[in-house]
Amino acid sequence: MSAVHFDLERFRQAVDAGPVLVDFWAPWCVHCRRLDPVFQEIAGDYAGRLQAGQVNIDDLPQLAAEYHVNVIPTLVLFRDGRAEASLTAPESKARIEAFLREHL
Amino acid sequence: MEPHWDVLIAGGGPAGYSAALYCARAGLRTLVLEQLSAGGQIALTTQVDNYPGFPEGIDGFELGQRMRQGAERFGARTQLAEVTALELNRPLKTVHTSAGVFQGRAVIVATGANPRRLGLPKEQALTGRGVSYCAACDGMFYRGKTVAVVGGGSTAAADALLLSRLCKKVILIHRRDTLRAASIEHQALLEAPNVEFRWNTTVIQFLGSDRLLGLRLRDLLSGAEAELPCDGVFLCIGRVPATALLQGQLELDSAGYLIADETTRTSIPGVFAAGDVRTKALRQAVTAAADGAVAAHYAEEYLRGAQ
Repeated sequence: MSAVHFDLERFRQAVDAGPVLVDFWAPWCVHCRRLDPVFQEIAGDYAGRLQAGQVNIDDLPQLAAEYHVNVIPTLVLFRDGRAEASLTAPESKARIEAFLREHL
Repeated sequence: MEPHWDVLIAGGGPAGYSAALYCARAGLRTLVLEQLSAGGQIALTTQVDNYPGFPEGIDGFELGQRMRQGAERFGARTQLAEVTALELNRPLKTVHTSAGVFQGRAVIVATGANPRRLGLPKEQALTGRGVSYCAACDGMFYRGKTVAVVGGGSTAAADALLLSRLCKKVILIHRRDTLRAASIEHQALLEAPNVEFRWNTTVIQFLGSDRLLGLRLRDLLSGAEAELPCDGVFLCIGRVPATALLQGQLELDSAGYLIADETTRTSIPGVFAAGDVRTKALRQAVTAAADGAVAAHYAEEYLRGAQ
């Protein structure tokens, strides 16, 4: 199971449906590419408990602005339709797992 | 995953995956422990022009992925995990990670190096909020803005030049009165109309609370202090080896690098140091890859003798 690419509509639907971990990224962001393999693993590991999706901030700058994403990669955890917590540029898979343990 | 391995490799950069390739081809059961993704520091570079075999250059992330695939083609495995502790003194060595405990008969440390921090208050809190260590990563956020670059080496020069093409103004701050490296960027920087130099100057404070608003600077000759408003600062002041977990176990030099000669052997038999983490003259992807091959050779020799 890999992460979904969100457009605006799919993003809104997912966030209304249950917990979602969103990876805000952009094609020019070199840190984002390094995070991607780990994010895909997280998507698989947490399948059924959490939907994992990616938002390209070049395509959806309004979402980056709405959720105050000023730097990427930033992961935002949505619960009950709200942004619950965020994590900027995690340096390991373990850091994301700790973040999810704390907030999910 | 198997309970124990012939060789555990900490770090999946050029040294780690080169070692993995040579170990796997020698028939050793080999596991690479990598915390994020293959490539290490080069994975943050979009254009690598000094790794032989790629006449047009190659994207660093792509090169890292290819190194991983090359090693895995011969049976090396990768576990994405953060190493939390190492017990190296016994013949069977134990590595504790976020994904469980792994044991190996030999360990190759290829953990590389990370950007050096300035060590000022608020540095961590403002990282990603105006404080950055990588122009290629974060430069785009500062298009049309005013940024400072701190440092005088080739990375500082290259980053300042990259930023000068994006930003309204770039101020290069260096504690000496000239750039260290006679880099090809040097002349281009001196000629760039929007690059200013502050020689003999250090940063003593980050200004701003939620977001960086500027820097407090000290002139090292006169002692005078001044404030420099800016939207971002890029810190290019060198690197520190990732050896914190090894202190007290392996011999380190005063800068924290693992002491090992060209055989890559460390102070503990069966433990090898490859790549940027090792004491050496030149830290490049190509010398890291060379170290990996050497470490695999001596690890194989060690394992043959230990049987």
